[in-house]
Amino acid sequence: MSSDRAGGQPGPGGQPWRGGQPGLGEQPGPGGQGASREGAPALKIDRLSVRYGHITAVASVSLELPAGAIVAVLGANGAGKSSTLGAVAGSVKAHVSGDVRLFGERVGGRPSHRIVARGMVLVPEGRRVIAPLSVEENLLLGAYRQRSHKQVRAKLGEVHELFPVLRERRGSPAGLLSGGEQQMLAFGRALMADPRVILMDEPSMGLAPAMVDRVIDAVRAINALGKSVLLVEQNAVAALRVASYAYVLDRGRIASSGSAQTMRSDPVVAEVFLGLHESASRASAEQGPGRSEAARS
Amino acid sequence: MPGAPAAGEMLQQLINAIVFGSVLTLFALGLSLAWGTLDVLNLAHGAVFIFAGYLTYELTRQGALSFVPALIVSMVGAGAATVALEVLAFRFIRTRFANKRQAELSMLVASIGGAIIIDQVVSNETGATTFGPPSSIFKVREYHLTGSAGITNIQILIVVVAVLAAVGLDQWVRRSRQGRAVRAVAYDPVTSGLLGVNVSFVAISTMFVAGALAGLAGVLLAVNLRAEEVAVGQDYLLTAFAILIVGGVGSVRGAVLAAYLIAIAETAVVAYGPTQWRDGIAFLLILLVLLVRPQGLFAKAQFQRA
Amino acid sequence: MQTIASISSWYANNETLIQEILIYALLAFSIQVALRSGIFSLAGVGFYAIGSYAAGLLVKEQAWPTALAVIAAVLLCALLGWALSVLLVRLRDLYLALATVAFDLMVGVVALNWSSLTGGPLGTVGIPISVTTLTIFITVLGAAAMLALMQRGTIGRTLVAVREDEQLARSLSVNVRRYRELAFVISSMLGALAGAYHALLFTDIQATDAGFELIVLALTMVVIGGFGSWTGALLGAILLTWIPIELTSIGQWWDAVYGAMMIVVATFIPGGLISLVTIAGRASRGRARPSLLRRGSAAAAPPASSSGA
Repeated sequence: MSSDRAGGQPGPGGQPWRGGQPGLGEQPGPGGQGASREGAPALKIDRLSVRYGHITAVASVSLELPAGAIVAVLGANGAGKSSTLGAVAGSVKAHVSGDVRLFGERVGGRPSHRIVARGMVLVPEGRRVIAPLSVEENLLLGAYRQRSHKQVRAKLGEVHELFPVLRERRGSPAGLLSGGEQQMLAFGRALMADPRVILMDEPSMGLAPAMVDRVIDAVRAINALGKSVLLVEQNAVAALRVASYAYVLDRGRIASSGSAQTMRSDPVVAEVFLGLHESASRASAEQGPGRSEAARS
Repeated sequence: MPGAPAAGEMLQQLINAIVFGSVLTLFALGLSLAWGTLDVLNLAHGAVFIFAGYLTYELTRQGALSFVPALIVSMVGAGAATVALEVLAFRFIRTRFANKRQAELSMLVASIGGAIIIDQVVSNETGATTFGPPSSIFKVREYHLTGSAGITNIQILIVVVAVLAAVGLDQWVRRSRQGRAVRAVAYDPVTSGLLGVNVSFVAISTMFVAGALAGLAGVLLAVNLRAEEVAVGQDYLLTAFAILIVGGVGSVRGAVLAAYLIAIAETAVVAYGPTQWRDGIAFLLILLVLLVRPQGLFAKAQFQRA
Repeated sequence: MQTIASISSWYANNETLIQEILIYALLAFSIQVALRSGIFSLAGVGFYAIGSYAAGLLVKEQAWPTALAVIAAVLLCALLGWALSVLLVRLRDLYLALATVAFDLMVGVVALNWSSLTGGPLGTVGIPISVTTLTIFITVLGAAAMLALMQRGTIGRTLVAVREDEQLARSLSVNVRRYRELAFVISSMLGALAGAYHALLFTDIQATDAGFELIVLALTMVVIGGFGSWTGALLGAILLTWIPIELTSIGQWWDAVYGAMMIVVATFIPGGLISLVTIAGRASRGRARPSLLRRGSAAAAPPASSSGA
């Protein structure tokens, strides 16, 4: 049965949080003043809130993705990352408020298929390939909005070139691919829509370390095609290797942000990801002191 | 020993079975499509089937329309009635009910409500008796075969249309861009939306196709028998349940095979066996197949929920 | 004195309606107890048929005492219900629903063909009237009390767990299969009771009595009333027995109005009509809260806004 139809998880780790507390979320964006000189940023999220009933998963989050950049959104499990992406992509069943602009054009509140038509695609958490359809059919589905047969074929060629494994296994059901191959398929499927912006929800999740490297390489390759990428990750180390700028999401709010270089040494990042978080620290205390050492290595 | 008359009689029974199986096929395909892709067991399907026959009767009895235009208008009417249920009820239930099981239940009850309304319209307008389009709209010709056996041109048309519809639906679901979207929505509607598929449009067009197929079956049956009544819809619905279970929900090929199998079994029992057990065949098949092989006897599903 | 007279005359005028409501209430309980446990079984209608033949024939042909005949019918259906639940153990959701519908209709086909026992198409007629409205009323009360108990405490919580998440229930070492069998058996017994009382009150049984229409009616009662609680099933039984009679006065379109009401309730009131009563009750309790606060009761702490996990 297809569970989790709501798309993202209702980042429930945070306390119910109401009101628009200003502050941390309104730091200067990754492009600083530079982005506006170039024109509108690829994606601009302004005071986005997501509520599931009484539970607020995302509270007044603002962030910016400059055109052509890779920006990471880091956070622990349940920090509100998936809810943020789901709200931006129009796939969450929740109460969403705030402003989302794609190259200056308002897209907030539109259904997901309209947002794809405007040039932004979400690569969902857990790949979500359509398992009974073949690899090729999954890719063609990604180009659903493109009616020109010729252009679809051309795109298919590009995607095959980027991910040759998808050509080799074009006839087999997508459900039979390995986790890493499925992630490549999810990337390829997103590229078929010829988007300007790609949102990626935890692409490295559940993959072996060697595969994580290949996923990060793929993100870099996709970016090299001129796509702006908003990369949501729990694996901060991997994400900071490709991103130029990063935000840290904690309990539905932006806890910190800065260039990738500064974030690598940021105490908040260490706190959230290296097991020193107040709720996480209790858990790590129970598991013994070895955990933070392991996470650091 | 079977002599020539018996052989002619048997051939006639086989022809009857194949014609009956063709109407069942058209009926069951729509039901299977709606259940397989949208999780709707649409109990109004039988009422829509009769409604289309009634529309043809209304449109042709004063000589207003000839056969083909009346057929098309009736199919559109049947499709529209099904889409009305989708838009007024199923869509809301699907988006607002978190619990899948409760959504299935509520859609079932809403479709019963729809069936009651449609049945009431038809029986009020026809005086709750049998009705049928006039014989003038379709000149029936009978072709004699061996012995006493014969086949009419409308019977041939029914078989040809059913085969074409089944092949067409099968190809549409497997090969077309829209068919790919239908299969994707059946498996995972949220992800389909994220890929740019307009899920509510797919739902509406699927329900329209399902209703129009029921309408096609209803019109052809009405023209063939020239005597239909509201209660017939339910008989077809119950038989179609057996077809879905035997053929496997979401399988076009399975539905076709199962429809002809059940038609032949029922015809044989009526012609040569204990007539009163006829209805029991469908119910027994449902129970047996669900006990032994719940995924259906034949092909694997082409469009089906995860 | 006058009120007693008017009550008794009202009762005399409506006795059949009340009897039907009580019998339908038992049938609705039968479906509700299964649905509430997450078992989409409509087998109660088949056991309604079996129970009616068993009790009717035992009283008519074997001259058994009423109580004994009813108990025998109910026990027979309990046994058959258990057997059916074992057979259908793998099925869920719409597939289970269709399997049990097929079972119900198969019972009708068998009854129609087993003429030596059931009278076939002629039906079983001339069963002596052997139950009173009071007996049925007391039975409904007893059944309601049992269902109310099942909704509470450990059994109630376990059944909800089995309904909401079978895997989770299993991991908490709940014997899911046992609980599903329990719900199935109770459902069969309630269906049998309804059928037995119907036969012994209205004196005849037709093979077509428990057909698709009765399945649809019973399911509709439970969903419209609300399958979350026995009170919803009771409300559904009352409304769906009574409303069609009232609606006939508005002329030939009453059925269409009835159908439209079903669509509206099924689509927009997920908990059934009984949930409106519950919401109204909660609202009135909500109004009572400020007075508690004024008294400075420590119990009136702000509602815990837990974060969930």
